[in-house]
Amino acid sequence: MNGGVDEIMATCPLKHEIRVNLWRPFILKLRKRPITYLTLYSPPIMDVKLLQHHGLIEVNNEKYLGVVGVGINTESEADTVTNLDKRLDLLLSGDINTLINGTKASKKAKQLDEKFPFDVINLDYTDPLHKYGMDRELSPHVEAIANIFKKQDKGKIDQFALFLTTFTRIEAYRPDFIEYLKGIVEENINNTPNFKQKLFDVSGCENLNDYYNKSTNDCFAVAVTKMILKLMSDYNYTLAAGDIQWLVRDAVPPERNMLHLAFHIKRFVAPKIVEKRNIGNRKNNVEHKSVEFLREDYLKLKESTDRDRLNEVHLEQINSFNQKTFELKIPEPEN
Amino acid sequence: MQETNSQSIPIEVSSRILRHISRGIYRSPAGALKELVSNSYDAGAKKVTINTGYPVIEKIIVTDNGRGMDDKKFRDIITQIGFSEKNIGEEIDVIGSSKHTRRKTIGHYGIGFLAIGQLAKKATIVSKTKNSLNGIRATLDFDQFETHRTDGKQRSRAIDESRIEKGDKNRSRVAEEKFNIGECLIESIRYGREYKEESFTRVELSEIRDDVQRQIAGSTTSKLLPDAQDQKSYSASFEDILKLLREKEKQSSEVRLNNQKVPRLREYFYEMLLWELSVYSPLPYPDDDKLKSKLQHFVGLANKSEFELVVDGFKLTKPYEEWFWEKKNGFATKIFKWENEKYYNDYRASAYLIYQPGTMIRPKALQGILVRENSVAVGLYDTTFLSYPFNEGTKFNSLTGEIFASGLAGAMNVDRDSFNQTAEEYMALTEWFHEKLYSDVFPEIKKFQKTTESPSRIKSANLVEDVLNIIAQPGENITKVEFKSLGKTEKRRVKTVGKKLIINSDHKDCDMSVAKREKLIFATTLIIQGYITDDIFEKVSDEIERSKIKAKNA
Repeated sequence: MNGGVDEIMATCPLKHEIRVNLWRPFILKLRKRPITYLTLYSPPIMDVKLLQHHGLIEVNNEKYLGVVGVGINTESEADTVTNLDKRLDLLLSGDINTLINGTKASKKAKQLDEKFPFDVINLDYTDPLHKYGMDRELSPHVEAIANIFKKQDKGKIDQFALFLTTFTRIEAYRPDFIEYLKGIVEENINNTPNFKQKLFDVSGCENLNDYYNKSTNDCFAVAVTKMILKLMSDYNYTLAAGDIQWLVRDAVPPERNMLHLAFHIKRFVAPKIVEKRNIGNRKNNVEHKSVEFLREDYLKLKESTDRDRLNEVHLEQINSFNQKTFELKIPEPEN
Repeated sequence: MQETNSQSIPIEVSSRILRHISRGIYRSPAGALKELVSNSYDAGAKKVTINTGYPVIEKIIVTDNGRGMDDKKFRDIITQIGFSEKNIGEEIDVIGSSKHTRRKTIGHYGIGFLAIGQLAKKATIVSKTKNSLNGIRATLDFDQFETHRTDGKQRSRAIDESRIEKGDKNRSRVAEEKFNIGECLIESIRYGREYKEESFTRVELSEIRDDVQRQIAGSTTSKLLPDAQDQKSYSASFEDILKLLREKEKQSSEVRLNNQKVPRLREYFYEMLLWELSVYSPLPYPDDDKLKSKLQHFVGLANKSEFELVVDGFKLTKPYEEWFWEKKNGFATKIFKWENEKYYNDYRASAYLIYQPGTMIRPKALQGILVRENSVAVGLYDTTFLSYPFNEGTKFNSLTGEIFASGLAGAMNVDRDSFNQTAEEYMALTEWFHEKLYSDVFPEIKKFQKTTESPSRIKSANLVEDVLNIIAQPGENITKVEFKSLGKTEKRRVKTVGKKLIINSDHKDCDMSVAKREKLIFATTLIIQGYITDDIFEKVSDEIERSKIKAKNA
């Protein structure tokens, strides 16, 4: 393994907690097994091993059926094969956004496109959604998320789970994008009285600037959620359930906050007008759904306080998954 | 913790072997890897894994669960490369076999280790035997390579032979015929008590040679065709690879580069490596009921050694797939079998040949005959059928098979990838096999072709019928065209019956060779569209026939 992020992914009990107690429960909401799964992997590919361990992913003699992995480069492709006991149904290297947004002239983009729709899509990004200095108005990440909804809709899938992970150091973002996100929250405050009320209840803030200054990361998380809700509504999807969790890497400065979002998404079916209260309520209006993402305390997993506790819970499983590769293992000598 | 006891010893080989190493004694990386697999097989391993690290190929790691080597055995091997006595055919136990399987060894370690020198500059070998807490770690460093960095990876390339020989004059020469080709550092290592029962060998190759990396990853293509990696197909299983190779060779493909069309020639080298390994290695056949029922004896021969090879997660088997047994153009495959026959003194051979009428064996690499000594292939499929002396035309393209023979060890060349053609055992085997081809196979195929409509003729007739029925639209003189057997005595080529045109499939002018097919389409179109009648067509055709005979006689 090439160290860095891969090493963390292979050993970090906090990340494993996210896999076990955020991702897996959301997959169970689909009430379907085996699932098809698109993952933006890191070579240890622990998510696939965990889901297979729980019977959510099917395997045969040679491969993980219905599992597609996209890694950053050929090095990660080689590392992934090394770290797996079987082949994935499709393993691609390259930028996920380019592959999703790409034309079919690219064989890889075409191969990926042919695998849609998926029951579960895991966009486990480790970078900002719209990088500072990026000379593009539309972020490739956001474009990719929109294209995912488009492809899922084209594939006629009625429900699926979407996981999105991103890095939330505001300075690392393009300022326009932050303004765009702030605008989204402001819109909610202005248009949804419930949102405004709940915002006040949980934070004591009445306007966007107060909330942003008081809880920048939480404001960011709610805004990103709202953005995704809007993107899904364009393809007639709506939210059945969602959750926000934070993974805070504070063992070594500077502190890094990784936002983990999980969504259970369903096809929007307009209610029949059989009662008066449904009149005018037949639109897939996702605005009010942002309210449920406002909370006083989000689940925060911190390296400084939670690592040891979670190591006790997950270490054995992490080690056993790391041992699960196609290669014969030889023991380490004492000297 | 025990103190490390390490010692450096030179790696020495005979001058004969030296020349082979620097030129490369194996025809491909797969040939060299096969040697390491053979070492594992001879060590009684049930399983071998190879991690090539494709597509980067920074290291290649071969691990087995065989009996391993202790310090003494390893030293014996490394100091006697090219001099060690052959131990081919020795009966050994398969380690950990619940069925107490035994197998015959297929190689000799020393030569096998030379394979390392063809793939990489450096190798680290870790090995341990059962009932011992001691193991060895040996680091081999071959001198005939120079290192450099490419794309951030440490790689090596061979330096030329004359430099090695020149260097040797100034170096320690142990004996007249020995050359020093590098260093081997051996350390003893110690394992915890819990591992006492375990035995294994792990060979980690590093500083992989440039040309090896290129040959496996096809990165020459990447340089030539920047989008090559992007355009490659991914294979999830070994069956996918076989399918890919079969389908890819049917169509040539090209890309535009600097406004020029460039053929994609080196796209699937990695897949070919796996294919070659699957052919070379003593592997079982795939678990396929049809195959088991058709080639039971051979499945038994291949499967008895309990051996598994996994490369990069691909579980390799002999390269057959279900598709292979399907009818092609409506014809079932024909199988010829000879089981356990004496071919020379007490040496025995079993062989089978599969004939696929009217189609070529795909992938092309499967065409020919493969010779196995104790289940391990010597070379790849031979399309000359061991230099069969008679021309049988395209029938060879429709044949594939294997010979499982004993007693060929002495007839193999040093690369163990080809035979010394003058060796008596090999000559006897060739004679035995050619006699089968001459007496059993080709007469049977010819008989089959005479008594059965040839698939290519059927295909051709269908094409003619389809074309003519498109032309014979309602409103034309003829609205339906069909081939019909009118008997050998019927002299007419075509006959109209109402609005139907019948083509006499028994007439020699309608036998559907390409030239005759085009002529027939042209002439019958004239009839369909009312430019001539069937009688005029017959009259003119007879006249042409008579003129041809006259011209011939004149």
